Amino acid sequence: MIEDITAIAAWAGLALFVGGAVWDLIAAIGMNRLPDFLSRLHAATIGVIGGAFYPLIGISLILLGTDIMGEYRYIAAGSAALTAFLVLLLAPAGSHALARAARKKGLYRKDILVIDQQEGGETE
Amino acid sequence: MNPAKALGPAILTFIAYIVFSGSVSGYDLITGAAIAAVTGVLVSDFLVTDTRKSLDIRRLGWLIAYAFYYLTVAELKSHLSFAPKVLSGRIRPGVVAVRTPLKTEYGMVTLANSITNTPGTATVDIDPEKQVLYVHWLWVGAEDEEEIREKIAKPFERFIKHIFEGGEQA
Repeated sequence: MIEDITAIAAWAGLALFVGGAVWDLIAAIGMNRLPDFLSRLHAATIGVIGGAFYPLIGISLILLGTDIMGEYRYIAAGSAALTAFLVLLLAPAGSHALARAARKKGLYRKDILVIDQQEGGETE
Repeated sequence: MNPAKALGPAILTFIAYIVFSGSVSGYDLITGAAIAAVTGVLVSDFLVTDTRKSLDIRRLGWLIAYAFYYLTVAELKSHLSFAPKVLSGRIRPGVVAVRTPLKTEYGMVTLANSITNTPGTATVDIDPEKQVLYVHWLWVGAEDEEEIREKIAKPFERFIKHIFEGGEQA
């Protein structure tokens, strides 16, 4: 029973980890394809959540589900899980700062916006 | 200094310490408790404004429910719906105003973070007095105020309201 649960955890972790590579690839392609700063931010978000948060959770699950690192696996699994949650909380703070600065300075393409409901969003 | 006020941050620090060290030996438990106590006292004045709210078990339950909903359903849905748009580069971007009933700082920040952390929507500015978030939307799906709120903020607000809002001490 316990072995089944650990095996499921390990395989789920592996799926998240491999999926993370795919999301990172999508994010990288999007980074190149999207036209301006604010829309590239969305590609970056995919890279942060799909490509960093979930793979870190996956690493944690893999380590808890197998015994490839002996007794050190709890340290590594704990660090990975905590790092994932720090990324989840801190990444949007960086995004907000960048987005707000780009918005204030007008460093984005206004011509492709279909709607803009913020009056005076740009100061210069 | 109020010991109950420091308890919330101290418990969080202790959990972080134990998870990070990955061991429950006597040495780690004692060191963790000492560090948690000092950290809790130091940061409680900045982090805690309402002691009763910070130790409310029902709010913790809602937070766990929200984390579960957000990290599975909400993230998966927005990842899957915006990946094709990001890949093809066919977008319809716009900046929309999202009105929110949330009043507390914690509530607004959590909502802004949740919106930014889902692909396809990113908060660019915030107006705490008018309680409006300005959100950059990769594919504008609505222009009416209510509809925008329905699509961007409603699923999160439902949980955040129970976690951070209401029950202020008189």
